[in-house]
Formats: sequence, structure tokens, C-alpha cells
Amino acid sequence: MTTPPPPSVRFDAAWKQALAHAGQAAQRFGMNVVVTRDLLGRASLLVDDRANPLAADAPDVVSARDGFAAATHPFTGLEPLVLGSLLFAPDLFFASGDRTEVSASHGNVGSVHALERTVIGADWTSAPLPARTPFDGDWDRRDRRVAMYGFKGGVGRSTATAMLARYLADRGRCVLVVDLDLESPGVSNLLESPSGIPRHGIVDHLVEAAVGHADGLELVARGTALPVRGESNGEVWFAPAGGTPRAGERSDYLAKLNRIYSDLAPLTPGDGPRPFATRLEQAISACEDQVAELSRRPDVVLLDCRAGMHDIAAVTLTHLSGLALLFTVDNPSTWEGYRMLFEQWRQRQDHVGDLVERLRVVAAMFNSAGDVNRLLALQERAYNLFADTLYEPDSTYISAPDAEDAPHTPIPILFGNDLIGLDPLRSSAWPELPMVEAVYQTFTTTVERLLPPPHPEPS
Amino acid sequence: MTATPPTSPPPDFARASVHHFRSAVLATGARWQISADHLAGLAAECAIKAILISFLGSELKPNGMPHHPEMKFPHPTRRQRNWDGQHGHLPALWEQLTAVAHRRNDTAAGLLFSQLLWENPFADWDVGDRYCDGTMLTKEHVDRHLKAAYDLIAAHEQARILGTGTLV
Repeated sequence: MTTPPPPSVRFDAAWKQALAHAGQAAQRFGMNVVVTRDLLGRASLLVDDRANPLAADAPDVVSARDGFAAATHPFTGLEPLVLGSLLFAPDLFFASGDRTEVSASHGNVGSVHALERTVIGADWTSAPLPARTPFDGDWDRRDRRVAMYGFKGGVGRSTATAMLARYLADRGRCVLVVDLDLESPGVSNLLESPSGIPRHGIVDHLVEAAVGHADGLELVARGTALPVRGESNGEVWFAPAGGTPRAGERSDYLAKLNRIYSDLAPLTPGDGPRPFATRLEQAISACEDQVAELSRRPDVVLLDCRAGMHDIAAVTLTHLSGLALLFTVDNPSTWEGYRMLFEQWRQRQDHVGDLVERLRVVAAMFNSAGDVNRLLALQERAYNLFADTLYEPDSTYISAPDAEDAPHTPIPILFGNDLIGLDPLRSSAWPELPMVEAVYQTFTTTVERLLPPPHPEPS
Repeated sequence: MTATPPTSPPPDFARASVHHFRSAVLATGARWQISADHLAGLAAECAIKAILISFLGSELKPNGMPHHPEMKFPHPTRRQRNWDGQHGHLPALWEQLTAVAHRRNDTAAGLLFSQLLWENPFADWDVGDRYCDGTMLTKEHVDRHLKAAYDLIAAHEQARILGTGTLV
């Protein structure tokens, strides 16, 4: 007779069990607990017994350890239960800023926090940058930045970015477009012919700044492929993902791209660490400063962000922008993607209130211009998603599914077949076609309303 | 470290690092600077050996000496032909850790650990300094060595619980 294999659970069920056992431990011991998950998904239970040390061989400790190990197998950490009193550096776990709260302490029951170590993606739930960077008066840099994001690619995000830049410049604003679609750059081509691309790009700033060598980069250029109308003093500037090297210079874009995402140690011993979020923020600030130096401070900065669940998107949406436009098409994979994303954000109760006010859904209405029912159907799905995930139960948005101005209320782009195949490089006047202007009118005017006012004219 | 006779239990570098560290802290409190500095260095050595063995592929030889089976390091005092994979004392041990860690091609560079590797805080430490007269030893030296030892022990503990992604 063979011995039956030990019971085992899959990845998701193991984590669910780990959290359930963590809750039981918080109750049984009346102490705060942290449940960790390592790179392979293996969980450990850390009990903070520093104020009142437990014996490692006490029956209830042994029982908690055995129960946790049995319930999470094979996703059990090397040490299933760790007592805080026996740790060398307990604050790395019990006071880590990367923890997310699972349940608060109440009465004699301790709190439960989760602490995860993943290969990438920590920025989806990490705390926003602590220090803002004031740029002028009441508005800081972040308020003037707009993240253009779509969970799925190919929904017209870059074209909409170019149209929005153009419209805002027509209205007299100084607009900077930053191409953060580093794995698939392109928005620069909508704004400029290749010959006008500056010498360096965002990836250059990231690799040069890593060794303290970012001064003197040429990061921005004024767009000419979309000339603004004569009567406006608006400007469109752009910062490409990678620059165009001068004749005879070599630029190995991939070699740079492959090195940019890591969090770095301080450049000078004693300084703070340089996480990717901070480094990207510095690159964008450097572009803004160059525009200010060459002309004037940008009124609006559009961040054309890559699709999918990626660190660039995470940082841009959660840390760097004052307004985040979520491009959406009404199909199941898009909603499923946004649901995953929002559920991640919901784990950070301390930040989600601020975040939700900065979000707006944009409806990319392919081939359905004028079909109001399809827009309403999209609005209903967006409302259900926000209500399930990000809206607090007492939020005013909960009772207003049909609100005209809520994060879930889609701003439509009434995209039609006529737009497909337009080549902006061959026909620089295409944005002025009445058909094109009509498509984007609601979008551009609504976004304009959501932006801070332009900088006052210098006196 | 002195080679352990084969009959002894294998060295427990992780535990030893904590013991040495706590002894160093006690010595600091008593203003025994030479002992404190010596123990801080030993604590760091043990933590580095624990990291190398637990996570970076090093092994114990039958005589208890730790070494890396795929690496050859220049011996700090002998000629180049004597290169081997054996882990000895700081500060050369630090360069060995850096060399081994940088072989690994892992995108998840651990923040704590990558900060550690930035600069060798034991460049001015020597195991023979326990015989020194102490006139050159400043509080800044001892504090820096204690801090580095603390970070190394914490990095080993963090990797044990959160996985090797916290290392390079």
C-alpha cells in the first residue's frame, strides 16, 4: 500500500489559506502578525511577540506552525512561523513601508499585514513618492501631468495624446508630451518628423543619471509636424523615449532599456536609495526644466504610457500624474484587466481615496459613433467595476451611477473607420479635418476642464 | 576563521554573526574599541559567509572551510597561481561576495543588498588589527563597521524569509 501524498493547494488557494491562518494567529496570540510571500509564492507567518515573548516550543505556537504549514503546502516558506522576538532585524518586517494591511487590530486581536516580494510590479501598490516637487505657486509638477494609459494597447491612445496636445496648444497652452511607451515608442512620430527628434531621450536620462551624469542631455524638441494655428501662442514640445544620435554616433537603445528598471543604491554613500519611481520622476522633471529653459514652463505634461501591467504604468499612474486617463474599450479582457489593477490599489487603503479622484475613464468607441446605447453600456460596466473595487461605501459616487462627472463616467472618443490609415507625417493638416475634430471634441474639451489653469503670463 | 576539525559540527555562520555582533555592541558600550571593531568585522565575515552558503552557491569543505566551487579568487597574500575559491577574511571577502553576486543575472536587485555592495566598508579593516595599539582607531571606524555588519545580518535574515530576490 502506498502512502497518500500530502494534501496540496495551488498558488491562489495557498495565499488564501495563509491569510486565514494569519487572522487566526492574530486572534489566538493577541499580537500583530505579518504574512510574507517570497519570490516563489511561499508564505511565512511572522508573529510580533517582542513585547511578550512566546516560547518557540509552546503547544499553541507549534500547533499554529504545523497548521500553517499543512494548509499552505507546497507554498510554505522555509520557516513557516517566525517569532519576532527571535529576529535580528524585526523592523524590516513589522515596520516595513511595503506592507499592505489585511485587517486592523481591534480589542485583543492583533493586526494582519501582508509583505510580498515579487520580481517586478511592486510599484502598483507601493506608497506614492513622499515629497512633492513644487514648481510654481499652488500647483506642483504632478498636478500638471496627465497619464495616458490603456490596459490594452491599440485603442488609439497615442493618437489621442497627439490630438490633445494639439488642441491644448491651440488654446494657448505650452504642452510637453513625454513618450513613456519605452518598449514600443511612437508618439514622437505623431508630433515630429524623424529629423527633428532630439539627440537624447528618457532612456538616456535614466542610464546617465544612474551614474550622476545627466547634465547636458538634449531631451526635448519643439514639435513642428503639428503646427499650431497662427493666432495662438501655444507650443507643443516632446520628449522621445530614445533620441536620434548625431551622424557617426552610436545609440544602443536595447542596451539602455535593459538596464533602466532597477532600484538603485545611493550615488553617494549616506544619501537615500533611488527607486525606479524616483528616477523616472527625475527624468520627467528634467524634460520639464528643459522646456522652461528653452521657452516657458509647460502648462500641461502628457505622459504617453505603455499598455498592460508594467512598472512604467504603475509608477506613472500611482506616483507621477495628477490626472490619469484610463483608455477603455468595452470588451471582457479590458474590464478583467482593470479589475485586477483596481484590486491591487484597493489594498492600499491609505492611498486609494486620493488615487480615485485622479482617475477618469476614456471610452474609445470604435465604429460606434452616435450609438449612445453602447456608451451607456460602457458607463454601466465602468460604474460596477469602480463600485466593486475603489469607491468607498459612503462615497458620493456610489449613489450616482449616471453622474456626468465621476471617475467612472466615460469621456468618449467617437472613433470611426474614416480615421484608420491616416498618416500624420504625409498630411500634417489632418488634425484640422472637420471629421477628426468632431471625433475628439468631447474628449479634448473635457480634459481641458479637468486641468489646472495655465501659468500666468510673466509680468 | 580557523579551520574546524572534521569531527566538529559544521559552522553555523548565521548564528555566529549575531553572537559576534551582539558582543561587539557590548564592547562598544564598555568602550573597548579594539574588541568592538574586531568583533564587528568577524560578525560581518560570518554574515557574508552565511549569505554565500545559503543563497549564492558556496559550500563547506570537509574541513569546515567555506568556498565557492565555481569561482577562483586571488589569494590576498600569495601569488596569482594560488587562486582558489576559498572564503577567508575581510576585506578580500567583500570583493569575493561582490564577484559572486554580480555573476547572477537577476532583474530583482534587492535594494538593501545592492546598497551594501556599493562600497567596501571594511577596506580599512584587518583581522590582525586586534593586536593594534588602538591609536588609529576612531569611533567613526567602529560605527561604520558595526552598521555594515548589521546590514549584512539583516540582509541574510530578510532573504531567508522573503526569498533571494532581496539579494542581487
